This record gives sequence, C-alpha cells and structure tokens, in this order.
Amino acid sequence: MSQSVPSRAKRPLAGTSAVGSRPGRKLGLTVGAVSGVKQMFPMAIGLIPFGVTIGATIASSSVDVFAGWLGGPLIAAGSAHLASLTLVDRGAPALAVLLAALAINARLAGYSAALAPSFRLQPTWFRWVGSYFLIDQTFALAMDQPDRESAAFRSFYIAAGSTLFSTWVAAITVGLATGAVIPVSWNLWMAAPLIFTGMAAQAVRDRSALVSALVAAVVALLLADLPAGVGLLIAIGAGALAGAFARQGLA
Amino acid sequence: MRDLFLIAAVALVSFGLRASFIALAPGRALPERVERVIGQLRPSAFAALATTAVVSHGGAAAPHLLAVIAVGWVARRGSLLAAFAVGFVVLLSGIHLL
Repeated sequence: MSQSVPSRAKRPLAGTSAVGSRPGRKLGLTVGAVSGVKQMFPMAIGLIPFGVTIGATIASSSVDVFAGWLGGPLIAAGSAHLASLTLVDRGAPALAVLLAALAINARLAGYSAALAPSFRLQPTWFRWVGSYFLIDQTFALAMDQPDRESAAFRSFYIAAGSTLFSTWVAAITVGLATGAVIPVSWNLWMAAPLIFTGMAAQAVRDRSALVSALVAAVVALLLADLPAGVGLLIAIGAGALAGAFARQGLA
Repeated sequence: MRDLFLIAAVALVSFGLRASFIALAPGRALPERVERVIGQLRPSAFAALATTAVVSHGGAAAPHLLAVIAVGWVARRGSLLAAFAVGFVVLLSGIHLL
C-alpha cells in the first residue's frame, strides 16, 4: 500500500486530511496511529511506577480488589483513583469520595473546554471516545497537533490514548499481583502521602497556588478530627477559594 | 458492593468532566470566575490529601516525615519520578528525622 504512494508517505500528519484516495487515506490513518504510539510511549513508561504503586496500595488496603482494580480502566486518572482508594479504605461517606475526585479531576473540564472548538468538527462517536482518553498526557499531545479536525488526528489520538491507558492498567495489575508479597516493614502505606506530597509540590507553580496549598494544608490539619472526608473537602474548598482570591488580588 | 458502586460513581463523574464541553455541552465555555477556582483546586486538593494522609496515621507517620520532605523538595526541582524514587529510598533505608 505504502509502495504505491511513496510521495504521500513523506507528508506530515497535518497534511493527510487532503489525501483523497482510499490507499492515501489509509496511509494517513496508519501514519497517525504510529505517530501517536511513538509520542505517547515515553510518557506511558514514566507512569509505570505510579501504576504499580496504586496496584500495591489496592492489595494492602481493605478496598475490594476487583473494585479497586476496575478504577484503573474506568477512572483512568491516577491521583483521583488513589484519593478514592484512600478515602474508601478509611470508610469515608460516598459524597466525600465523589467530591474529592471531582476536585482533583476538575482540570479535565478545563481540558474539555480547550479542545471543544476543534473536536466540534469531529464525528459524534469520536467526541465520546475521545472524551474517555482525555487526561494530562493526551491533552498535551493533542494541543501540540496543528490539525485536530482530520481522520489522521483521530487515529493519532486514539492510538496515543490506547498506548497510555493499556500501559496504565497493566502497571496497576502488576502492582496488584506483587503488592501482597511486599513486606509490611517496607511501610507501603506511606505511598499515598508521598505521592500526594510530590503532586502538591509540583502543582504549586505560582504564588496563588502556594496560598491555595498552604491554606488547604492548615485547614486539613485543624479539621483532621472530623469524620473521614469531611475535613478534607472543607480544606480543599477553602484552599481553592483562598488561591482564587489571591490570584484575583495579584492580577 | 459498596466499593464497586463508589468506584463506578467516581468513574462516571470523571467521564462527565472529560466529556463536559467536548460531547455533553459543545459550544459552551467556562465562566472566567469558575476557571480561576478550578485552577486552584489541584494544588489545594493535593496539599489537603497529603496532610490528611500523613495525619491519619498519627504517630506512625512521624518517623517518615523525612521521606515526605525529600519528595516535596525533589519534586519542586525535578521530575515526579525522581521525587518518588528518592522518597521511597529514604523510606526503605529507615533513615528517620527523629
């Protein structure tokens, strides 16, 4: 197939939408898919330790193993998954679990809003399938593409998302399988605090985010004795509002 | 059954956020005020979760605060992967702050 159209094989991804013939179109889809896999692969590898840690956390917690694992392919967002596991393990009310996940994943609505103008020109089925694969890494790659309205982009995006999510689920599965044999002396229960601390440190990119994080941490400390999840939600809300006011004041 | 229900509910919420403007309400945009608050939810949520996760283990977590500090310090200066690696090395080495 590629031998019959050698000149088209040299076109960049964005140019494949102009290809009219069937062999050319299939080449564009193939090139898009291969590009998606290649660009996502390094990021997918980087997520393996996090996925393994989540799997091991499921194994060492009181959360139902199947339910915990199912969060991998269904929630498909590590930090929200880990937060949910932590809260469910502590017996937090359902509303607290949902609102914590909502707070952590709220940025996904921002990504959705940013991609919406170009996705509007895509077929309906892709808008739903593409939504499932929307996370930090796929958003970053999608925003890098000059043409987000073509069939080649659909191929690229689905291939990239599939690469990421299949690696993610595999890592969780490995963690789940090996977590039960990890000695208690390794203090694996510290994995969640360490991961959240690292993410908090990286999320603080400016003064308003620092205000947000500090207020949230102090409020969480002060309300630590409240029932599981309640103090957490108040802390998240207080931190976010403080950060938003700080941002408005700095603008 | 409760755990399965909660995980499924979180998955539904997460998908709803992803599909919010792409598939559910295409053509709408986020108000600026809402965007400003959303931008602060992530640092707030992670800081609150980290604090809660440490405090919930009470005195058992105190010896491991060095690992927590190490992760935060490295994460600010480098990759998250490097931060986790350093944190787990400190954790497994048994080096304590107190």
